[in-house]
Amino acid sequence: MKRLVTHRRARAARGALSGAIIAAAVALTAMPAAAEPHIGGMVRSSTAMNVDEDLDLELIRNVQTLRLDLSARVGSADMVATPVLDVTADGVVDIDVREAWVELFFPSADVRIGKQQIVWGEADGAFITDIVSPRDLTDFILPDFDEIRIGVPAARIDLYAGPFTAQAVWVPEFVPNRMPPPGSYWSRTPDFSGMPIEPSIDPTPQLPDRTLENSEVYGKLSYFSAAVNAEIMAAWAWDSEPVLSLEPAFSDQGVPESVEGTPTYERMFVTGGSFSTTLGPLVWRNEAALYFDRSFNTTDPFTDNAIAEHTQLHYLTGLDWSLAGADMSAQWIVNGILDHDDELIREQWEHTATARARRGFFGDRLTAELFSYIGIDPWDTLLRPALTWAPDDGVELSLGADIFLGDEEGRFGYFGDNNLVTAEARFYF
Amino acid sequence: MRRLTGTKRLILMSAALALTATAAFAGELTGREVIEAVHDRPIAEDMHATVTMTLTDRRGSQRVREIEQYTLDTAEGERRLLFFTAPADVRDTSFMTWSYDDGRSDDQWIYLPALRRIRRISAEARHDSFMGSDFTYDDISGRHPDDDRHELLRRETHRGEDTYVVESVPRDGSAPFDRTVTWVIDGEWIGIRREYYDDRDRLYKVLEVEEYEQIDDVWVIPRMTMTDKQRDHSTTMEMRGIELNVGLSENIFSERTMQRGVR
Repeated sequence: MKRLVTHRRARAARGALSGAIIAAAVALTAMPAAAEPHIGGMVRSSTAMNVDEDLDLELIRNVQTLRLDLSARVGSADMVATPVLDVTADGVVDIDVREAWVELFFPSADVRIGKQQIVWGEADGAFITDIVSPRDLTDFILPDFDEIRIGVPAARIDLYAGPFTAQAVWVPEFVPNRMPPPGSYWSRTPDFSGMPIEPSIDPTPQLPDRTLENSEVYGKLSYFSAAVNAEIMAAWAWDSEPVLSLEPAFSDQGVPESVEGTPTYERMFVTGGSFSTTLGPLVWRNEAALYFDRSFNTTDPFTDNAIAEHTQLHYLTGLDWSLAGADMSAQWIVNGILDHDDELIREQWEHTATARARRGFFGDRLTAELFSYIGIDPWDTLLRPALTWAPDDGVELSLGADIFLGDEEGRFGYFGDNNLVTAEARFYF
Repeated sequence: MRRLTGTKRLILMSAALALTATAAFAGELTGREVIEAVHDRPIAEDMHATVTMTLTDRRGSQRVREIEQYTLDTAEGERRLLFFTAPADVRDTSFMTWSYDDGRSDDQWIYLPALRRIRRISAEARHDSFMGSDFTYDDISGRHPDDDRHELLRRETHRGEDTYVVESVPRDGSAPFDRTVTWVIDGEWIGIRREYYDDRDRLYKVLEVEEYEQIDDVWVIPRMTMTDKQRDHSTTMEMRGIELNVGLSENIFSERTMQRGVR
């Protein structure tokens, strides 16, 4: 039986951080004796400015980042630690350890223990079977793909047999998506227009208790061959996205007076798979998952805390090709609730398309890229053009934009006032 | 065509080379036979080498990439695995290609550590630049004789070697060149120069094999340069620490190794 307790996120973060630092320290301590130690990393200066309708600029983000990539091999073990230090313009320092793990390797197996990012599936910019690592959404979906995933403390085993790989992952403690704080630049006020009483929201989420029965298990079987790469997966996991548990309060006369909402997390069973293959000059990618008993909010706070369980289908098909030296990609993503009813706040079907074009010039010294998400009904879009100049090995200067257009009800159009121009300098060492 | 392996293949190849050399002497060798002789030249069962890829632009500015390369000759063709070890921004990127003796299109994958995913490379992308160099993915994996129509243009002495000069025209129209001309050393069956011409018959790229040597009775190419004549840009690939027949397992040419490296 699930028992929910309230944790402060910071407390959980401190716990994860201290564990990760210990692992990093272990890796560093071992390095002098290691056969193949490596210290690398990246320094980045990143600036983002909001552009309003009058083309006035407002500084939104100015962050200096130092990332260290530490690794060492001792005997049949690899150790990796990736500490990251962020310093904002107003002097706020944030230290995180993106990953810190030890992997023991054997002829036909790998065992990895520690904080790690785990990536599944074939989708670009969509998370369908790729649900093991939660996401940091405090900057919406704008960070790099390797930065949007949060490492999870996990034990993972990979078993190899010819073209097959079986992977099992045990996550002892659930880690949810990191959401934008209420009132922050990327926060989104929930739509309660269908509710009889507008709820007040306590932003402190309720997390599952730290018990063995609340741990998560994931499994995947993959097949790698010339003809096709394929995966099937299953998970008994917590939904990384919260739903609001709404608790109505009644007057002495039994009249509802107020409703308080608390973000909470619910269990679900997920199964799905993905494959990619070639179709003549094209690469065809597909990924699908069914989420059983996934919790969604209803408009009725008087029944089951406005939470109802439904079956969700999330599917993607995409093509990659090359055109005049440019890498092109297009994806169509369908996200639907199979047993939808009118009580649900969410629409039954959501369709999203993505398109990417990327081309290098002058021996890849200059790279031009455009990535876009396009929401269908309501129509909206996020356009992400970027130019990157690499004057020397390991040095990148980039200029980009995040442009939100379309219906304000949409996932992207909602942020129509958040258009950004971004500039970054990176040095890899 | 299926490649033979081991001593048996070496014996048969020696006999085949003797026969082709005799045919050549008789002036009966065709362009296709020359290119097939190059394609079927005995190679090591497997090889490991460290490759330095130097990109030089028109101003003489250079960028250097370090690569660990592993190749294996299998019953159905060649498997090749490249790991970028430097510079830092491409470190841990890996590239794998499976080529087939029966003329099937190569299968190619790339692992990008930033995405943590292995991606198939589309057939069209095989003509794109390989990691910003003047080589294409296709150049790295090599073209099968069936990919082109071949015609022997002439025999001539080139860099002091007796060579066949063969023109090859791609059978499909997707290649970024309309024809190539290759200089092949008679008897050793090494192409030491290849010129690529674009659709307006202008010289587009030149591949120059600058060093070739025999190790354990197998010819290897420690140094070659591809020059883009139109951009005045070149890429030199230099191999060092060449190890042949070290007993590489077919298992290392896998998804696991692409992500984790050779252990």
